[in-house]
Amino acid sequence: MLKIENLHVDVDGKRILKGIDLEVPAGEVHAIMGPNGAGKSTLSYALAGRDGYEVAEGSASFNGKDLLDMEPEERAAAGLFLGFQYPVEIPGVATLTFLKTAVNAVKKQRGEEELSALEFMKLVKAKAADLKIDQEMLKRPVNVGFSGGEKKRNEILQMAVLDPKFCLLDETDSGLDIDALKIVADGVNALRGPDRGMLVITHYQRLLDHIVPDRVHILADGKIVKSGDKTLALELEEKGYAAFGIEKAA
Amino acid sequence: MSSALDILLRGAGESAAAARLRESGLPTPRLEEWKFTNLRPLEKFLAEGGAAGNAPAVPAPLSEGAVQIIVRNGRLENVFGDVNGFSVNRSTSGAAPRENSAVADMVAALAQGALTLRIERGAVLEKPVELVFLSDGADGPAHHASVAIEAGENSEALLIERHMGDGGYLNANAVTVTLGQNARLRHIKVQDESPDGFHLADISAELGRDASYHRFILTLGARLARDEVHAICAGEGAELRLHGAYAGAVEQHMDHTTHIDHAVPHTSSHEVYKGVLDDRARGVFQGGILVRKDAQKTDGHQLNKALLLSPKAEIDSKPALQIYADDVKCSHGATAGEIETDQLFYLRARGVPEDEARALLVQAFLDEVFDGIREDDLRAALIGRLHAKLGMGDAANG
Repeated sequence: MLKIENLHVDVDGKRILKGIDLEVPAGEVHAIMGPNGAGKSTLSYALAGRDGYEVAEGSASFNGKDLLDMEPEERAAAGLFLGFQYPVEIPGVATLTFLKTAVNAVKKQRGEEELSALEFMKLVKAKAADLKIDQEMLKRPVNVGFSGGEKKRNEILQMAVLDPKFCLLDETDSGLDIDALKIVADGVNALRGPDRGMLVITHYQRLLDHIVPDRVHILADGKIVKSGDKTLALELEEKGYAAFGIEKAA
Repeated sequence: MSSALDILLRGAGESAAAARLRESGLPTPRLEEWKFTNLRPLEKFLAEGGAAGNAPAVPAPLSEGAVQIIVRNGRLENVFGDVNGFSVNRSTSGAAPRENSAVADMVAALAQGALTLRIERGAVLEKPVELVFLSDGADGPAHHASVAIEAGENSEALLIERHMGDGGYLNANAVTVTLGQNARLRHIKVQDESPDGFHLADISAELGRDASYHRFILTLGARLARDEVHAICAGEGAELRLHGAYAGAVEQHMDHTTHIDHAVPHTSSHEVYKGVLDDRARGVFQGGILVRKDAQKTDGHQLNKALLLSPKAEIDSKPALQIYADDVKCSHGATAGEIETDQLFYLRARGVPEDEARALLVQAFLDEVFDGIREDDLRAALIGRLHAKLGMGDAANG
């Protein structure tokens, strides 16, 4: 489903990713772990198409299509969803308006009929209830004044409403207490299915107790240095990065 | 004396205002007050004459059921006797300018009569009054209107002032607003002039004890526009609110200059101006707040923000606070910036195409200024006009 080959990415003229090879088939959840500065966020931004993340070499395809050739909105319409490590505040735009604009923009690009106000509200209410998001929060401007937990739940709500084919979650667990983590993990697990792929990027093994991955990859200094099954995460947690020959970068 | 001034003053009587104008000429950027706004394009237009446009039709009211008063090329078309607590009348001469203002002088020297809109003491107007200025340049390149608004004690009203037109012309107007004790006036101005028009306005407001004057301006039109407000909180408990939103594109020049005078204790002012400038548009904000020595417990807040959508767009912002009392709460803030790339990427990553994402962010930036307009239909109509205007410029080149 997602296939990355020899991906090199520069940020501000500096090489951050130095040849990533990774394939995530439909139905599988892969985790990427790595120390700060390993290139985790660079990978997620490059895949989502953010300006300033220059692909110097290599390729990434999504269901056989060249991902790197698409605008960010086209990637979203194709079914790629990025859950942000730091969800962005947008004063003046109500969360509901934001969600509706996104859902209908994606539908429009796919040539599907846009949702009516009623259909949309029904969909959002159901998904919000699952994530314990109250209606009041949906009326507030996007992420403005939200707690860390609210921001991450809002990311998962967007994901649930947009119903993507592939979920790329960038440190969705950072800044969450255990209760919030469980709600978020439940939300993610509810979306697991045979037709959907997921790539979960995290700094901490803790998340992987709740979102159990099929494969774990360790990213260090812009490369995947080791891959294994879920036990690799536990081993890493126990022995630390140094045991894998990884120095903690700044 | 400039030739443009000759053209303007041809036929002007011998008033004090005309004498002052002859003496000083049209304002130039050498004057501190006019540092950022150069009237040379106006002088050129007056010297060369412009193409008259088609007479604009009277528009549907912005707010349903509003009573419309039409002023065409500076002339009042309909007179109202005292109906439901308000009246509109012609008078032969305009009010003498209260302030040292070139625009007020120009209008005082050249306006052929004035119109007076009076809201009777204690009257609570159920329907808004809509003052519609239509211009087409057919009666000469420039016209001048002098308007006096008198809100009697304990009265309450919503006044909508609209400026629309076609072709090239100068629409200059001077408005005096007098609020009696405990009068409440909300005044919404929509400047939607022809793209070839010039708009110069001077507003002089005096607030009596416990009076409340909420002014909102939406500036969209004209190639060069200046809206200059002089407001004095003259009675204790007076509350002033000046809100403004503007959207400029191509080579439009939009100047909002305000002077707030807190003359007595326990008065407040709240000022928010927000604008979006695209292409080579230029915005000017000059905000003066004067707190006199005796005006203790003054509450004065000013904010102006501009969003620049193009590298060639420009905003000049000059706050000027003079505070002579020591027990006051005053603040001001000014920002100018571009659309946040984080916000833009967030929207695009959710599938919203770039143009649509930009439009949404611009709208979000300006919407706050409209929050104080309570009437849903009116607020929607104003936001609708703004959005139509924003669709005009080339938003994708920023």
